[in-house]
Amino acid sequence: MKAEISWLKLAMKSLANRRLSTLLTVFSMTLSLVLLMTVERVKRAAQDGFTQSISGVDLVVGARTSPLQVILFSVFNIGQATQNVSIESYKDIKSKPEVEWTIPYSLGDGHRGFRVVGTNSDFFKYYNFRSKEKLEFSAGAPFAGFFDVVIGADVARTLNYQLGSPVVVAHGVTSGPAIQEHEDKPFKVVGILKPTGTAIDRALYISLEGMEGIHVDWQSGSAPAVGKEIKAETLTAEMLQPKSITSFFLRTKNRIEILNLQRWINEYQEEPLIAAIPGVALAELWNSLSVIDRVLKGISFLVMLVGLFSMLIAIMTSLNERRREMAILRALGASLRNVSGLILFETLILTSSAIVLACLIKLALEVFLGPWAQSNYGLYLQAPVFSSNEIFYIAIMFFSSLVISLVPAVRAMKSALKDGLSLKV
Amino acid sequence: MSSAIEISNLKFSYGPHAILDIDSLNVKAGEVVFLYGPSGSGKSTLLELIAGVLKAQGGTLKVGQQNLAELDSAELDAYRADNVGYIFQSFNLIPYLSVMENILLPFLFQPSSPDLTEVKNLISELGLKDHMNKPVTELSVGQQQRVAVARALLKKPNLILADEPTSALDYDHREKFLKILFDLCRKNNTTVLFVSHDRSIEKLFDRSISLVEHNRVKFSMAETL
Repeated sequence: MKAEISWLKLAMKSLANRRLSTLLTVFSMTLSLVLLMTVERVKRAAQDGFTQSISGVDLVVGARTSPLQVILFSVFNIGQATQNVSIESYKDIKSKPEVEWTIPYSLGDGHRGFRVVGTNSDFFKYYNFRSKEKLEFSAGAPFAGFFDVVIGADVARTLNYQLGSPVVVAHGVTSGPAIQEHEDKPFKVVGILKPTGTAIDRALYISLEGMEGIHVDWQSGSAPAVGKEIKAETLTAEMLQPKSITSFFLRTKNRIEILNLQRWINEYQEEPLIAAIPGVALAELWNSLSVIDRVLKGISFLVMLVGLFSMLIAIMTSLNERRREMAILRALGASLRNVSGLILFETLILTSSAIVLACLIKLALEVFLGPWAQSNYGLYLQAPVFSSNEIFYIAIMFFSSLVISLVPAVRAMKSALKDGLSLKV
Repeated sequence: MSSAIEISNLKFSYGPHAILDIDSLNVKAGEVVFLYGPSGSGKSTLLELIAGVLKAQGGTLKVGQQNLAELDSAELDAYRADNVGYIFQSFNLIPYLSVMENILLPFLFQPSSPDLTEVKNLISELGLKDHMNKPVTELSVGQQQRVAVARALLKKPNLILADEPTSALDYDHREKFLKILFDLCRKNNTTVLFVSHDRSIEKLFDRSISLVEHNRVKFSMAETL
């Protein structure tokens, strides 16, 4: 016989009996939790994206601008450099005895929405992301020839490029559609990097010489006149010596030297430069963003409060209709504790379903909107799926709903005590 | 015959309002007793005292061997779950549970589990066989009251307390209902205390007791109006 009876069945059927208010309550609690977790997830993705994109770099050096600026355009492709660093200054600083290694970056061109970075083999050798992870290739090898290009994992995936695919670099655009293209000097994909979950995935890497090569016949920022083009085959290593770079990353031999070196670069006599410490500059950025973060969190908590109160109201209003039900249960032997336990148990079911539902929605959003957030906003949703903050929100929801449900539970007990078996209204 | 209910010097009042003061009232085991009195004379209160939902302020109230005055509220709940079958005037059933679930409901509050063949027998004896898995809202009032009887009897209580369970039925159904109830109770030697203000069914019982005659708190119509 299937018709067994249990507390779970009683509570479930009672909730199902009040279908509409149950659904609305679960819905509003779910919504609030999804909102909280989404805000948290986006924040975490943004923060991780920033802090993990660069690691082991002591200073980022560029032409004088604000420290944050030099990091934003160098590492994250946000904004643009207005001035370059001359190759002489770069070589001078690089040769300082305190310097362990450098990675030059030459920026300003793009390819179909991704930026093109001119650099050298030190990039593959020294660049660290997350906690000291090195770049690895999923296919191919670092560039060797002038017109070789290594592409990030996102570039390969989005544009469906393989080894050998031709790449035409667009001039002066690091995102969006190209206006002028260097179609006379196409590149060839020789390497594809493994996904890093950082801004590295969203760029193409060519040699400084290649960067120089596509601009060698350009005059003061405009394409060469007809007949003045220099053919790719005729280019020599001599002609392709880079004259300037946009910025460079620097690692010191000993961390103690960072501040001295920074001061020395900031006061560099030959040209105005700025050396920024990534951690310091990013901390400034977080400070300025923390207001937004707090506002979003505040709103999310208010939504949670609304969800909890809608649950309280739904249960409180149901109590009066259920006095008859409670009298029946009492007559059958239910204690007052059973009566309030039933109310608590129903709340537990409501809250648990809201939590399970919210987690499912969150996971579904990550699966379906994750790639979109990645390609449109560069937000990488890294493991773990649930951060300690998110678990904390779930716990807050769970325990505050239990605490709140003590109100109707006690009230149900009191009215059951007063009503007895015959309702004295 | 041993006694099922022994009341002596029982006193109960709501705040300053004395409701019951009964010198002595006894019901023998297996007896089917009709307790009558006008509304407001304390019938329901007496039932709640015997069911262990209320506690008397004085005197003794023995049901079987147990003196309810000596039990704490948790013990009273367990006593009620094990010993008392209660049938309300109407709305005995939880509307969102099926007939079967309603019948099995008492087993939430006591450790034993139902004997399912017995459940089936009882259900067919009460003519509810075709309604077992129906929602209770599809049942007629008479059928609902019979479900309440099945539920009250299934845990084999020593005592059935019935609070005017026939008042919503017409005369023919009333007699039929009582006949089924009494047959089943006599078979199990279950004591029945049936409370009503409607004396037209009095003759069907072993004995009838007037609460007004037993209650020393003088009932006045004016007070209840």
